[in-house]
Amino acid sequence: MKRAQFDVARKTIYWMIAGIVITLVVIAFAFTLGSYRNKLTQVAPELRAELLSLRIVHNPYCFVWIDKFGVVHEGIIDLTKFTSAQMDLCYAPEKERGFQDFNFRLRLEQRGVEVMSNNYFHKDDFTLFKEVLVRDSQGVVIKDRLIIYVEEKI
Amino acid sequence: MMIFEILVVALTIYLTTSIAAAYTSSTLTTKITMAEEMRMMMDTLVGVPGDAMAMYPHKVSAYSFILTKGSISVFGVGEAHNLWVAREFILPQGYTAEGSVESVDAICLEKRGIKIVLRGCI
Repeated sequence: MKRAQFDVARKTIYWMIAGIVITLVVIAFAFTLGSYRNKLTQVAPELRAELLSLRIVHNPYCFVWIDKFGVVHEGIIDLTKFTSAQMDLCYAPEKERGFQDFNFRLRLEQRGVEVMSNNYFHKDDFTLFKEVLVRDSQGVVIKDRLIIYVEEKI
Repeated sequence: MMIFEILVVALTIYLTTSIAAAYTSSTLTTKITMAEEMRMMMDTLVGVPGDAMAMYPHKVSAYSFILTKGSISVFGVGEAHNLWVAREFILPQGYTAEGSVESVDAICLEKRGIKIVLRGCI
């Protein structure tokens, strides 16, 4: 009789523990599948940043030089437009939530000038480089390197 | 007692198989991929100075799309709003984006100046 009671008690404790473990295993399995799905749909941040930075040297609403005939000269940066105000016209994340998006610091290496987007907090995740031409207010064009410091999100 | 153990094992197998089946039959992965790709297409079009058009290279007749100035939304036909997938993007000042398509085989993003339009490809 006592042995039978002992067996029942032992089985009860065993199944309590087994039930908890099995539940945890099933939940972990569900999380593993969810995590795998997130990995499948992830876009490399370097790719996103590269596509976002295309506008910097190609879009006339950003820093590209437009001559007096209205011709857009891609790859030539107008130094007179290389300002924070122009950056706000080119790429401006929302002020309240912009820190959750990509932010950039642009630096012309030889000129030593910098502009930043409105939610940039100096947390550089990686860097992109673009060879560009820079035209100043006198019309002098020199070769330079544009360094794009990318901040993914805070 | 043996039967009870067999039942527990069968229940565990059923639960894990159901979870796996739910994930595989879900269209969420497809919708997320489409929304991300459309967002990248938008960023690329903004990087083009003049007019341009890009066709999304997959059949999308099972889905609907809504493009606004700040986001692209993808959803199945008749789906509840909480199942929609949306991705935000940032356009330069002055740019507009608009358009919606439903049950169309191929979709195109067309940039005309500073306006980007989502429409079915002709």
